[in-house]
Amino acid sequence: MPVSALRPSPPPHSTETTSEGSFRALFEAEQRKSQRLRALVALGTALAATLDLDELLDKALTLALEFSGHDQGSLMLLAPERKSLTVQAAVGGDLSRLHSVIPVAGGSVASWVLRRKRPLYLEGRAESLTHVPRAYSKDLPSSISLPLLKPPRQAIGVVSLNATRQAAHLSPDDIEVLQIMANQLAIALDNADLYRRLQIKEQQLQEAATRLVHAQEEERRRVAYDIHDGLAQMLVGTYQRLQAFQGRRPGRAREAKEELSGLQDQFRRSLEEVRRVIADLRPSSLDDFGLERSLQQYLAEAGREAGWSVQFTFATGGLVLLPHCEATIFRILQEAVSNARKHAHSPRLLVKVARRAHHLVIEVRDWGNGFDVDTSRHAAGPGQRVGLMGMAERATVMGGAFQIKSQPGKGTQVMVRFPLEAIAGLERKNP
Amino acid sequence: MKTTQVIIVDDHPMVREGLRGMLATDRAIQVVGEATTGVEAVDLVGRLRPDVVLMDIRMPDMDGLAATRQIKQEHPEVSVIMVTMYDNPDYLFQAVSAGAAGYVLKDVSRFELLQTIRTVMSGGSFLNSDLMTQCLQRLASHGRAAGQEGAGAPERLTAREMEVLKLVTEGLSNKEIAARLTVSVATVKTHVEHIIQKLQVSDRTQAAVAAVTRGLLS
Repeated sequence: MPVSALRPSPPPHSTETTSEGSFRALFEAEQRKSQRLRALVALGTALAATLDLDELLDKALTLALEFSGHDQGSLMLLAPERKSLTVQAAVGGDLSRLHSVIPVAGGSVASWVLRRKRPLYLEGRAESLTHVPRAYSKDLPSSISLPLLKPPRQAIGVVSLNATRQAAHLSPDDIEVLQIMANQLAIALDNADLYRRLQIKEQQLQEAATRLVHAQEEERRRVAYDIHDGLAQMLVGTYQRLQAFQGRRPGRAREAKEELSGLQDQFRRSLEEVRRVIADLRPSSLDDFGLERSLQQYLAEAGREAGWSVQFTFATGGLVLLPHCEATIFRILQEAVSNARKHAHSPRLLVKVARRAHHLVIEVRDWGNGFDVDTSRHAAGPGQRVGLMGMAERATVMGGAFQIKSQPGKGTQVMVRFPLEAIAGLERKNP
Repeated sequence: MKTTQVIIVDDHPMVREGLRGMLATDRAIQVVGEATTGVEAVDLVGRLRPDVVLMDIRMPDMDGLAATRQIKQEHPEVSVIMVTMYDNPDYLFQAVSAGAAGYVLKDVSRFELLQTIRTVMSGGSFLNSDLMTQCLQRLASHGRAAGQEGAGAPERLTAREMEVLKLVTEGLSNKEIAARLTVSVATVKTHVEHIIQKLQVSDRTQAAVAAVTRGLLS
């Protein structure tokens, strides 16, 4: 590895001549070797164990200082536009340098190291050194600056260590170890950055999905009320007028009479259809009476029509759900119940909405036909497949975990667990 | 024969026109006014004192339930029939507890609409016994109904009237009550009329509501 090490005189231990001295030198060399290993292991451990980024930078810097025998350290990271370095961590000395910004274009040691992608070790007073960056004017016994290199040799920052009391006399091996430490840190930082960006992306995605559900629910509600207040009333009015007309002029001609009552039938059916569309878009009871009552109503009706005995429990302990979550839960349960009705042929049905310590669990269980979950993913009729996928998607968007268990002849259980923080509004004061 | 005076309350002109047209086919019914909001309805009822109000639920400027509550408080003798798009029993319950005598959907047939008005006027019931029982059970658990607070000290009911009232709250028709008590339908009708008068309510539905919320049968 290319190392720029400028030093005015060789280190003192290389001048020993006696045999006692050479033993001692050997011993010290061995000790130094194990120190190098220990430093690398310590950094590896720190990188693996520390989650907080600032804490990690401080730890890495401290380890580098300990190993190198320097007493002041700064860690600078390149800004995304690659034009400046910002001090992200500082250990020892005056800490006001933290968060200061250094232009890459300047003649500082840091930018010199960054551009050349190799370490620079300086020992002795500035004026006694040659080939130093032009901005270097410090009177330090020794200092070393190393680029943070991530593969493939991309510099993302600089570590700078100063000795203010006495020179550290770093050997090329020591510098190499320090560079390895810097590179390890660079990889860890890069991973942390990737992870952070991934997290932000994921959060944005989740937020977008939530907004989407919310907007969709709002839109459905708007359309429902639009139809209710406009089209439906017009149809009703026309139907009523038709009836009034028939009442005023009881038709003499049989044909006219039949046509008139045919028209009335048609209107009546149209109105039923409109009412069904409105209820599908947005059950108005959800707005006026809440989730529990709406489910109760829906299940009572579905139970009557299907001839089920329905066991319904709703125990949310005063939990107030966000409005679009109520709609989502209602729709998932509605879909599950309607699936059971179409396919299960079960004598009874269990529907449960229950609050756990950290989750809200919703469940629909029947004791009917059941099906093979794996093969149905591919083989089931398109309606059923879309129904299952729709439920799973709705659940996932609200942060819920969707689960379906079924076996031919043993019934079906659909279950979704929502984390409370994803669906809860403000807690009601008096449950 | 005395005509039944009716006020139509609905924010949609086409629905008001349709209802007016349907009512016009019965000579015993006279539409004396129309209102387009709950607030207008309360005001109009105060001035015209109709026998029956046909009331929409969803309206701007005070909905039909709130308007019914207020009308029943000020004029308990006026009968209110909800005419709505909502076919949900919860609204029916709300309407009955607000003081409504009847509840029909807007796509009701002309025959049914006229029949409901006649039934309410003659002390008959529009609720089938299932719905009546459900409604009264929920009312009992809620403990009170709007429009009941203003009622003064009612006359005591006779033992026979109490018997009839009990069967009314069970949702039985006059004919069924007559069979149960082995009396004529006309006698039952008279009993029901007396009960409505003595309880100072407007109709059979509200007599049943009063029986439950005032604890008359316990």
